[in-house]
Formats: sequence, C-alpha cells, structure tokens
Amino acid sequence: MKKNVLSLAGLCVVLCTACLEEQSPNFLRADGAINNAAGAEAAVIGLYSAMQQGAYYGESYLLASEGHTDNASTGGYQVLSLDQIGNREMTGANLISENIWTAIYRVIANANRILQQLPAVEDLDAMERKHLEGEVRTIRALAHFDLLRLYGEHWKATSAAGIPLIELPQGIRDQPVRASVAASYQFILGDLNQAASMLAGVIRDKAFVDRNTVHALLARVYLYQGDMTRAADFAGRVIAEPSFRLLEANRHAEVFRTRLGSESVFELLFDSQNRSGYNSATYSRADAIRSELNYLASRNLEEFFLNRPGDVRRSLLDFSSANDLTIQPDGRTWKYRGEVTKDNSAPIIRLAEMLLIRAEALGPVRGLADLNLLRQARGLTNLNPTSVTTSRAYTTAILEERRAEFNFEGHRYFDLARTGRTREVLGVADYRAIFPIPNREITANPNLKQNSGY
Amino acid sequence: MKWRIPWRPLFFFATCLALGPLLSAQTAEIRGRVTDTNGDPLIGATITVEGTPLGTVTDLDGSFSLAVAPGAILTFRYTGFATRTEIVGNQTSWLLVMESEDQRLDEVVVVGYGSQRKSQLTGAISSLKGRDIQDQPVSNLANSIQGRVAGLNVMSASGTPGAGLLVNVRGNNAPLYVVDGIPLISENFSSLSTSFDLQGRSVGSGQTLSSISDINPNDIESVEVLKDASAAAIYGARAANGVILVTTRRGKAGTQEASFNVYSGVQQVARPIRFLGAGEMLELVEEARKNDLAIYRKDPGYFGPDFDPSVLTDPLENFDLSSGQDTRWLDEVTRLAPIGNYEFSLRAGNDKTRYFTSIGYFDQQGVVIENFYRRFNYRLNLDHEVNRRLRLGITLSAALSHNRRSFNDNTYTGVITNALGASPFMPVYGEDGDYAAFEDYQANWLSDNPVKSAREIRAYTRGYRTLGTLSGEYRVSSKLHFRTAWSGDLNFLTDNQFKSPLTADAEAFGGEAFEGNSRQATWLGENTLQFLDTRQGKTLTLLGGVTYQRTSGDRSGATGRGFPPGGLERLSSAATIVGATSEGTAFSLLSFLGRINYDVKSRFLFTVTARADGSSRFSRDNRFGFFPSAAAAWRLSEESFMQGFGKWFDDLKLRMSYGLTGDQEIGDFQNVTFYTASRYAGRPGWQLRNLADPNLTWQTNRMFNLGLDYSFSGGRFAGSLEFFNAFKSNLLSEDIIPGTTGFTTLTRNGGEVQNIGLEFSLNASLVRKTNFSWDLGFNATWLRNTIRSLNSDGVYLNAYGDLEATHILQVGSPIGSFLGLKYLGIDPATGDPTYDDLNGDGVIDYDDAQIIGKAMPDAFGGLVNTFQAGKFDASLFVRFALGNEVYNLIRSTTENLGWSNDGGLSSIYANNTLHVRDRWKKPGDERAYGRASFIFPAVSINSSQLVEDGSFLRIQNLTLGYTLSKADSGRSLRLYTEGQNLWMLTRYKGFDPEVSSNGGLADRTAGVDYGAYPQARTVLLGLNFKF
Repeated sequence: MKKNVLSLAGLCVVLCTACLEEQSPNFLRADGAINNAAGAEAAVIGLYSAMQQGAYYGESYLLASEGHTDNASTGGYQVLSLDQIGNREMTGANLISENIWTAIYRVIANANRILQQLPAVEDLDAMERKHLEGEVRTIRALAHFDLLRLYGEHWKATSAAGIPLIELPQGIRDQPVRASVAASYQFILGDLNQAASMLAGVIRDKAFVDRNTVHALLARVYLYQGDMTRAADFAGRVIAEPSFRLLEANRHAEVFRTRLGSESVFELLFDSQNRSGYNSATYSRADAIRSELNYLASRNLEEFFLNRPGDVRRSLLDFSSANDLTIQPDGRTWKYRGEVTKDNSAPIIRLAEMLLIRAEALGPVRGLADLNLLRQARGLTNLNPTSVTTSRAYTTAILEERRAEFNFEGHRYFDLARTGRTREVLGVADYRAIFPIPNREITANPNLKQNSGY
Repeated sequence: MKWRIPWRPLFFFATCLALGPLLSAQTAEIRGRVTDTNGDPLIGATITVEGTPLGTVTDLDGSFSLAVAPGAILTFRYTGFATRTEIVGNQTSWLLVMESEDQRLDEVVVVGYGSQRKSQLTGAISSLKGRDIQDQPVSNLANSIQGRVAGLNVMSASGTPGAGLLVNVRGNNAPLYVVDGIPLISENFSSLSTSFDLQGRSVGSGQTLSSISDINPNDIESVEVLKDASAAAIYGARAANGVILVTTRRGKAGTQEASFNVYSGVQQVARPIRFLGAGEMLELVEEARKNDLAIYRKDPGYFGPDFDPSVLTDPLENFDLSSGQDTRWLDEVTRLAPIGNYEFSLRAGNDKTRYFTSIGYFDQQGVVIENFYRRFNYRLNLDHEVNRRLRLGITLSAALSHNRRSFNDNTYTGVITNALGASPFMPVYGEDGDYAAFEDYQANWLSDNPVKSAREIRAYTRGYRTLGTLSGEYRVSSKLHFRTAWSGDLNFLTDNQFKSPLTADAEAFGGEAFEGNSRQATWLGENTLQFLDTRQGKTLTLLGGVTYQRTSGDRSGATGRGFPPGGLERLSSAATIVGATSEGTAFSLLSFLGRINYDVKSRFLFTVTARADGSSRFSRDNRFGFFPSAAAAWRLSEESFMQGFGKWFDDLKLRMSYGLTGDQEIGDFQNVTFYTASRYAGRPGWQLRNLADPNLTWQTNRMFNLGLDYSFSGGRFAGSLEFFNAFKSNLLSEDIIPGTTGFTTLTRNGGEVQNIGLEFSLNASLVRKTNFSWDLGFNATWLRNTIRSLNSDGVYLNAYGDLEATHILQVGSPIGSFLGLKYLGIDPATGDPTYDDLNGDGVIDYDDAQIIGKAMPDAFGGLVNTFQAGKFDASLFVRFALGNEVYNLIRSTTENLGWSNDGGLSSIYANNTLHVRDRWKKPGDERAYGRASFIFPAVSINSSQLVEDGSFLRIQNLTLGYTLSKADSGRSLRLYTEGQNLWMLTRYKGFDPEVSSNGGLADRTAGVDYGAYPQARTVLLGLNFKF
C-alpha cells in the first residue's frame, strides 16, 4: 500500500512537471539559435543591431565624447551625467559612460557567441563561413578599439591601462583584468588582419562590413598606434577604391542628407522602427529650448570657423538668432536634421577621414596633397607648404581640418588625446584625456583598476 | 462496487496526499446543526448526554447526530460560547444557535483554503470587516485598509486616481492578493505607465495602474492579512511578502436586504505648494545677478575666462511687470474635482439558494485637469445546495474601468512637474488665444506649456476585467469534505494616447498616436480534501490539496505619426507607422498543499502547514520548492492557574510560529539565456537578450513569530502583541555583474535581508451605554529592515534612467536607502552650500556620495475612534508614520534661487517656492537657503539638501452620520458627511510625504518625489438606504 501511494505520488509529480514547461513566443533559447546557416546569418544581422544601441552608435558614443570637447556644450534638465560631460568633470559614477561601456561589451558578447558556434554550423560553405567570420571579427575589433580609445591610454604603448579583452563568451563569474595597451592593440589588429584576409575581395553595400571597412579601420587603428606607414598604406587602399569620391563643395551638405552616399565608407543605417538619437539630442525641433537638447554646438566652434572663410562645413552649424534664446550664444549642428523620421545614420567611417589619416601619416611633405584635396572639396584654398613646416604646425593644421570636418562625429576627444593636447585645448588635467572606468564596473569586478587621476 | 467509480479522482488525490484511511460515519436518531448567531457553523462543538458516557462533536458543517433516549439532557459546549443545555423531546432535527461570550474572539477568520475561529488561530492574521472600510472615497481596496492593520504599510505613491500603491507587509513589498480564492493578477499592464524623456526614450517607470482597483471595496465582506509564516505558508512560493485575502459578500439564508449607497463630493489639492509671484520672482533674479556681480568685481576670474559680465547688468528681457501677468500655474493645472459613487446591492436567500449581487459606478475626477478614473462594477455571488451532500458556489465579478491618464505622470516632463517650475510671467494663452509658447518665456525647466500638455495629450486606458469561480463542495461523510474550484481571471486592457501636433512632444512630426492592448488570462483549478475528527476533547483537522494555475499574457502596440487636421486621432489616420510590438508570455504553477490543525481541549493548539510549488519560471532541476511551517499556541486563560485572573482575562493566548515562505516574482523566462529578435537594414536577425543563471531558484523568507492575544474585561479590551524576526534569503535580485559580459544585471539568488519588528493592536469599547458608545481601535508597528548580505555590496540604483544614482543597496542599511552628497549647510560667510568631501580629495563630486536617508518608516500606525450617540454616529481616523524620509528632487528645480541654466543667460530655470524667502542675503546671515546666483546652481541635485523628514500625523478620515430607521421594518436611512485627508502635521515641504514618484512597485527606489501628482483632500455627502 505504502509503495503504491509513493509511486502514485511520484507519477503525479512527473506528469505534472511536464505541464510546467512554458515556451516563449518572443525569445529563442540561446543554445538553439546558431545551429545552421540561416541562424548564423541572423545572428550577424543582430550584431549590427547591437551596435545601434543608444549608448553606442545610436547616439552616446559619438556625442558624449564630443560633449567633453570644445566643439560642444551640453544642455538637458540639469542632468548630472550630462553636466559632468559638459563641464569636463567626469566621474566614475557617470551614467552615460556606464551605459556606453556595457553597450559596447554587449556587441562583443554577441560577436563571441557567433565566433564560438560558427565552427559547428554544418550547412555553410567555406566561403560563406569565412565571410561571416571576417564580418564578426571586424565588428569585434571595432568595439574593442572604441573601448580602448575611450577608457584606455591608447596613445601610450607602454601603458598598462588598456581594456579587458574579451574573446570568449563570458560566464557570470568571470572577472577579467585590463590588458596592457600594447596587448589591446595586438588583439584588435589580430582580429582586423584576420578579417582582412577573410574579406579579401568582398565589396558590399556601405551599411555592411566589407574589405573597405576593414582597411579603413586598420588605417585608423594604426594611426592611433603610431604606425604611420601602415596607416598611410591602408588609408590609401580605401582612397583608391573607385566607389568613393568627394562631393563638390556646393553639394557638401548632401554628405549628411544622403544615405550610403559616395563619401561614406561605413555607416549604420537606422529606420522608422529603429530610430537613432542624433536628431533628438542635437536638434529635436525648430523651437527647441536648451533643456530639450543634450549636445549643443559651442560658441567656441563658431569662433573657430570665423578664421576659415569659405569653409562650406560652417553651413552645417546654426548659430543664428532663429535658435531659442536659451540656446544662444551656443548653436546647433545641422548634421542630423530630419525631425520627422529621426533615423539619421551613424557616420562611422567617411572618405574624408581616410584622406586626413593619410595626410597625417605621411607628414607635411608628402601628406599635404591629401589635406589640400579635402580643403578644396570644402571650399577652401590650398594650405601653403611654408605655413606648415614644423611637425607641430602640421599636426595643428590636421587637427583643425579634422575639427572642421568631423565635429559632432565623435573624433575630437580622441584626436586631442592621441596628440597630447587635451590639457592645452580643453584646459583640464591630462588624466581627463580618457573617461574613468565606470564605478559600477569596478564594484562588479574588483579586478579592474581605475584610470590614474580618477 | 459501482458507487466507487465517481470517487476515483478523489481517491487519487487522497492517495497523492497520503491522507490516512477514511473513517466511517455513525448513524443516529437525532440530527442537528450548531451555529453561531451569524449562522456560521460551530465546528467541533461537544455534545454530551448527561449522566452517560455518550456524546459526540459537530462536524465540518456544524452538524451532529446522536442516538439518545427521549428525555435525555444534552449539554452543548464550545469554547468562548455560553454553554447550553437542552432536553430531548420529540423533535429529531435540531438547529441550535449558541451565543458568543466575546464577539471578537469568536469571529470567523478566513485563512487560506478554509476558515477558523479567531480563538483557534495559531498564526499572525489581522482581520478587517467590510463595514469598517466602506464608503471611503478611494478606488483601491489597499487604500481603504491603509493604517488599519498592524504590520501593513500602504503608501500611495501619488494622488493619481486608480494609481498603484506601495504595499508592504512586515518590510516585504508587494504581497499576494487572493480574492475569493483567486490569486489575483495585480501587476500593471498599461504601456502608458512608462515615463519618457523628450527624446522619447524610457527613463523609468511612471505612474503604474493597480489592477487591484478592479475590485470594488464596497463588495468586501472581510480582508485578512496573513503575516507570519504559519498563516501564509499555505500559499507557499508566493507568500514571502505576506498574503492579503479578500472575501466578498455572499447571500444569507432567510434575510432579504437591499441597499442603495451613494456619495458625492469634491476634492482639491490637500497641501498646495506656494510659489513666488511675478514681482518677487523678478526680485530674486535681480538679487541673483547682483550677488554674482559683487563676486565678479572682487574676482573677475571666478566665472572663467570667457565670462561676459554684461549678462549681469543688461536689462532682462521678457521680465515685464507692467504687463500685469502673474500666472499661478498650480492653480491653472489643478481644480476642484467632483467624486461620486453609486451602487445598489441585494442580498437574499433561503435554505437552498443564497445570493449577493451588486452593481456600482465610481467616478473620480482628478485634481489635475482633464484626468479622471471611472469604474463600473458588477458582482454576483451565488450559493446553492443541490442536495444534502453537494453544494455549489458561483462567484462572478466584472469591472470596466476608464481612465484618462495624466501625461508622464510622476516624471519630470509631466503636467505637474512642468507647472511646478513655470514662470508667473508666462500666460496660459497668448494674445491670439493659442497656447502660449513656453519657449518665449522664462523657466527653461519646462518641456511644454503645462495646460497644453494636459489638454493636448489625450491618453486613455480602459480595463475590462472578469473574475469567476465555479466551486463544488461534496460531503463525503460527516468527517470528510471534498472541494473543487475552477476559476478564471481575465484582464484585458487597451491604451490610446494621442499627442496633438501642438505639443512639443509631437510638433516635429505632426502628431503621434500610440495604441496598445494587453490580454492576461489566468486559469486555476483547486481540489482540496478536508477531514475532521474529534475525540476526548482533541480535535484533528486535516487539509490536503492540489492546485494548478496557468497565467498567460499577450501585449501588442503600435505607434503612428503624422495626422490630418480635424480630430482624426486613431492609428489608421497616421501618415506612417513608426513602431509596432507584439509579445507574449506565460507561466504555470503546480502545487501540493497540506495543513494539520490539532486542538487539545482548546488549551493547546498546533498547526503544521506545508506547500510544495513547482513553477515554470525555474529550470527542471530546481523547479519544486517546499515551504513548511509550524505553530503552537497555548491558551493560558484556559489553565487552572490562571483562574484567579479569570475576572480579568477572557482570553490570553501565547503563540509561536516558524516557517518558510517563498517568492517567485522575477518575471517569466529569466532562467534561460535567450536570443531576441532584432533587425538591421530591413533584414531580420537576433541578438542576445539576457544572461541567465540556470540555478535560479525561489527566494525564501524564514520567519519567526511570537504573539500574544489578549482580551479582558468581558472583551472590552482586546488585541495582540506580535514580535517577528524574519530573514529573507536567496534574494531574487537584479544583481550587478561585470559589464564585460555584455549585460549589467543578472537575475539570481543571493543576499539576505532581515526584517525585525513589533506590532501592537488594541480594540477597546471605552463606553458602552444604550445611548452612547465609544470604541477605539489602535495599531502601531515598529519595523527595522536591514540588508544582511549581498552578492555585490554597494550597488547604485537609479530612480530615473537618466539621473544619477539615487539609491544604494548596502549591507547594514535598509532597502530603499538614498544616495547622494552629504549637505553640511550654508556657509554664512559666502552663502554657498557646503558638502562633505567624503574621500578627502578636495573635490566635491559624486565620488563623495554616501547614504543620506531612507524611505521606509521606523514606525507607523493608526487610531480609529468610533462614536455612537442615539441616531448619530461619528468616526475619526488618524494615521501616522515616523522616521520615513523623502528625497524631494523637485526642489532642485523649485528652489534653485534664480539660477539660469542657459547659455545666453537670458532666462531663468524655474520659479521658486515661498520657502526661498528665508535665504542668505549678506555675509553673516544664517539662513535655511543660500545665496541667490544667476550663474551657479544653488542646489546640488542628489544631495541631502533635498532629503526631508517625512514623518506625519494626518486625519485620514472624519465621518459624521445620522440614521433614520423604522423599528421592525428593517428599513433604515443613514445620511453622512465625510472628510478624507483633512489635515496633516508634517514638516515636509512637498505635496505629501507619502510619495514615490518612481511608480508604485519598486521598494528599492522608493521615496523619491519628483513633483508627483498631489494628494487630494475630499469632502463628501452620502447616504445608505437599506430596505
């Protein structure tokens, strides 16, 4: 009798445990996601989507670093994180920075899952497999590089303050340490060089990673690392591509009005369902007041353009009295117009950057031609070689050109850091050339050391 | 053998539960039933035949049968009731009504899956009768029990009609609501309950709605709060935060009672915040500029290299006093708002069939313009005795609610928050009759003209709710009953929000509409067996059961932009659809439950309860949780050594319990790592959605409770004293994990929180005369909540997604601790605020943040005085809380002392409250507020400068009534007038110290006031007509 009762009770539990299995209509178990070609391709699409997070290329990564420079000032409703950026008084508690950190590692986590599972996917031919892997490695390298230049001492090869390099899916108890800057570069370049060989010959729509994207990124990374020969070489390969060409000066504004235009090397596309934050953060609506906007064009930027008569890039800045009184004397950038759709692309790599990388890498003698090529396309006259004889003067000219070209595209902060001009230009201590590691991160992972000075 | 067949499922359950063999019933010559004066059965009453050893006890129905000779003398005994002696005559069927010696002790208290007499309870249960909480001008039943139960702290997060509440039982947030046996879906399902910044991104939860509001408080017969483990463990995995059992009214045999209740009144903002008028605001700004100029003259470098001092001296634009404009913005967005309630109910029945039915309509206009909450209710509770063995019950209720939402309520772009900072120089309407353009005036704090936001953002939530149960109770024998109940809870909800093209939020794209809907369905099957046996004064009651519940939900929504003129506001009129979502979720729960009550001569009472719950929310290996509890009570008053005190004590009962309860409220599908759909460039794909800990399991609450129930002086004074010490461990929490995983939080178990407390309650009949009576009810709770351990210590939390951390979880501190800079006061020399440089680095920044307060009160309670004098009745209800603090963040806006926040320094940030009159004006001044400054903000957001003591004592309710009744006719008419939230003693500067801007449900980020919807003061007239 007892046995019967027990076995009946046992049967009850077994039968009913089955009725406790629920399936989600929205989510797919991770272990069943990437097990065939279609699944792998979907995961790679997801990787681009992950890059679109608001804290990464959806808005913050490009604009927050810009907010810390002389190009921008910040608005908002007395939001402490935004004020810290605008006042160049970053702390580890900064929420915006905290979100950027995790958003980028989210991309890396997605990439690592794909890389881990790709070898087991059976129905991919060798070519497809190679292409997918190249695409994923490029994005993983871009993500690590973006972390390195925001949180690591990227200009100092001997520094121990690199970033945690993540190459495998992380368990919840993993607490990685920061790699050295040299090791960080080595890792990033390792991925990019592998990707370069895997994507050899692959040309795609500029919304996706292809050979040109990898070359452009290699050029950028080598430039930051100080390997000028390679930087010039890879920038040159992109410049040589026939599909890229500079617009005439009178059509310059189209660079930001056309998707996947001829000056674009790699951009992230947004659409009405997947909107980006650029317009809301910088323009919002015609009558917007200061508090509504996160990042305003600084008066300093207006003054900068006063010395550049004829520069058509000034036309993308509005310091007029049409702006609300609370905005003045600051102004607004017009790079991200489109108040209705708010689906502005993230301009990640443009042809102008390649020209300026090569110009910088080749130095005043050989590089000036590239610099002048861009100046002409922007309505300016050629720089006279005699005005840039010293390397310092030449770097200044390059930085000014970069400032004119890339304001509100998230280059300035890093350019100042890698050329050692943070203190001089921004008037802050040298350690503010990079952001502090978010406190939240150090709480969760005691192995991380805070950047010196913070 | 044939008769066995229908009982197979029964047998199955019985064996599943390993209940012992069934006992056979006796046969008898006389039959009868013993009840109390309310008609409730007395179970286990002893009947003895004088002069013989013969005797019996009443069964689960209060029925008995006995073979006796005619003329025998029967004695009926039941603890707490007057013993009765009857002589057996010719009559064979008896209905014996016994009278209670102490009404309170012998009340029937609903416990999970059954009911008990109060005197037999071993656990900590507080019980409230429906009549004590009726006719209050509130929509939510939790609101109506606020302050009336020891250990239960109900806090209104805001004054929004129909809004969610912060309900806390003994330090644990969000109890389980069980209404007539159905564990209620109590979450918020409206998609309009999220607050957005102007970029349209979600920055936190806004005003949640409470689906508990779908229950009409006036249908309630009783509310029981199960507080300790012994009482709550019968609800196992969902009981860790306490259980609130709601029982609605049912029909009664032999009576017919119709009643018509109506009340109607008006509400207004109870404690408005007062602001500077135009002239005084201008004075403040000029003073701010003057102060800055003085500093500039002393040290021109003070404002930085590029500073242009002309902004301090140039005439101010747009500050034109001659226009006479002096708008009082709070008055523009608030109003005297009507509230009304109308209902009819009928309660009737005979021996076979009984029913209660009611219909009601509740209409509450918000004190903020345009906002309202309306509800239509219907209920039918029906009981029918099919035959002597089978009884059927039907419980059916339906509610329709219609709510015009207050846009972005509880967030800093809402109607109230905008109105709080708006400039008196700005008119509501411009000269052309259109809404004044807020951009053209001072106060750049605004995100829109507040009146425009209120009128031109039309957001409605409609709820459709049905709860129904069909139950059957079968008397297998006099000792064994089988009950089966099948229930459904259907909750449909639609959201419609239209932002007109006039609003700043939708101006850029020509109007925006959102339409969403949500469908939640719960199906529940419960089967229980109850067994009773009494021998030699010892009563054993056994309960066993199996329940299965499945809850599934769907939500969808779409947003469209660009609308033609002419009032076409539905989605089909949109030029483009910019977003659409559709998602579903589900969970199921299978449970086995059991309870043993053992009563030794009413002196010793023992209860053992256990429930095993299996939940789909956990992985196969740790799916089942087992939640046992045990309790013992000793009725000292029944002991001979207490007889000397017999005159004093009617009852004295010492109780002790210990046990485990659980909590599974982590949301569905948290135990598995998932991919979720995502898209790029028109192609579908997927990406990681979460990281999961497959070992995720229940969080458990181990609670020890020591209680003393007392009643003396003939029941005139009665109450309880409780001590509890509880450890909530394996906390289900969103733990922070290294962001290098790609995620910031992980739902996992870890950490422990201790809740230790004392509760005291007293009910006293101070005066009991024919023409006058005075009753008093008092309860007080002292509670300490401490985090004992955490997976990661010192986690920062944000009440709003884009604000700096406002709260911290830290070992040794309570949940809901505020984080910020410590304010040290105003430096009398300079008028500058000073802060504690915690890390001593010479810089005041957020690295100096520390714990600066807490939301949870140390003590709280309530006092009700009820008077009856002839035809008049009156009651006065006072409620208090001590030691709770509020993080009054809106003051960083409304007390910024003339600050500009403006690149061009052409305008100011926001108007200021009258409090800033007490400010620093010259060196040496010791004032509450510092120096007015145009250039520098005077208040550091997230500092203890904004933390205030929220202790209060308020007159929650004052009622005066007059009853006209015709003797014998059963008709009565009561007229009454009532005031709710009439007066408050507090030092708090905001609308109300009971506030939590960040929605109702998050205790970890509670206690923030960002200009929450103000609480109303209500005055009304009503009548109760019974016929």
